[in-house]
Amino acid sequence: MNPVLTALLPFTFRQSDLAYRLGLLREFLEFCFFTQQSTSASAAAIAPFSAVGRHGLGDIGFLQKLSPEVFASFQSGSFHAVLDQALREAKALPTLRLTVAVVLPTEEVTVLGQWARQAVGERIMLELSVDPEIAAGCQLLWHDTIHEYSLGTRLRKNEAQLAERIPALLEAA
Amino acid sequence: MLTSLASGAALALPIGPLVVSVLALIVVALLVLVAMVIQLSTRLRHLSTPIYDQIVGQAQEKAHQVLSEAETEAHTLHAVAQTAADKLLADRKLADDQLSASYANHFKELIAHADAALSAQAQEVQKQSAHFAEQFSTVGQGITAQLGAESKRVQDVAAAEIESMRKVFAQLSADAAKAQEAIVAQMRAQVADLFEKEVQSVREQLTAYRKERSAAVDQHIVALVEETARIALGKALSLQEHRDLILAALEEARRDGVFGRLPT
Repeated sequence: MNPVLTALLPFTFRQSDLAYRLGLLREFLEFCFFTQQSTSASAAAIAPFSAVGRHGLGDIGFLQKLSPEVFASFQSGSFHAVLDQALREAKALPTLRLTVAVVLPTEEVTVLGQWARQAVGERIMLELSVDPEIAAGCQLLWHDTIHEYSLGTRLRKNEAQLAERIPALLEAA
Repeated sequence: MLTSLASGAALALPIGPLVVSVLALIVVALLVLVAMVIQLSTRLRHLSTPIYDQIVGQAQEKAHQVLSEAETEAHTLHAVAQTAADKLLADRKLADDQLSASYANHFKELIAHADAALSAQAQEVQKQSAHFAEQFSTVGQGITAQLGAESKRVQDVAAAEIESMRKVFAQLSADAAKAQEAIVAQMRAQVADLFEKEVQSVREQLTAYRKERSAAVDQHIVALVEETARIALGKALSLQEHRDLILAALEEARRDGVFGRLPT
């Protein structure tokens, strides 16, 4: 596996986050090698990169999580090829696509990603979309097959029981 | 010469008009001559009669004398008339004064007589008034007594009528109460009957409605519960609870073997 992916995957669970962070890393390396004319990239350049003011705290926090060895592995003449290769490999990673009811924050996505890597595979990536009609649970796409595990699906599975119980409840009311 | 003129004129003009012109000149000359004769005759007659002027002068003088005498006589007559008029006015004034005094005395007598008559009349009026007052009082007492008696009679009649009316109203009230009770009882029976029918109708409608609703619920039970849950859960679940439900769904998927095989 590409060493960059190896460095990013432990704290990156969504395909979109992975692509974004690879782009951010590319931008940072260009800043180091071309703007500052450095011969090597290092964490020392994060502060002046941050001073440019185009990135939020989340982006800077991500760069600060990377180890010095990761920065040292890049060369000015080859980092583009390394990142392109990482991006291609990232797209090829197995991806579990979930449709959920609400927009989940990063902390909750991290919990889902950790579960997926533990239960399904260690390099599993997630991709989330939102559909309020889901109400609860999720709809998942795995190997080009949609699997319904939303509330509606559960209700339809128990339709006979509902049709028996609810009129009785209404009659009692 | 005329002949010669005539012959000469005959040479230049016709004979007729010439003769007429000559005759006209002759007539004019004659008329002038007559006028002069008349004027001279008048002057001659005037000069021959101067006595007329004397007579006229005398007549004028006599006329002046007559006028002077007439004027004198007129002054005399005027003075006499003035004197007579003054005397007449004086006499008239004296008569007027006497007549005024006589009228004054007469008025005084009349006033005194009127005072006496008025006084007597006042005494008579006072006397008559006292008499009328006495009669009025007597009549008034009589009327008062009659009115009292009449009032008492009216009160008695009214009391009798009121008592009669009270009895009539009491009877009417009793009759009305009975009639009202009967009507109320009838209305109660009708209302109870209508109410019972209405309740029965509502029960039937309710039963039909429940059947319809039950059929509708049975038909759309899943959609109803899903929509209800979606509305309720969308507001009630926290993000952690959503996450837990997603994890539960994923666990169920794993139990179902969805992730049984990983891509190679």
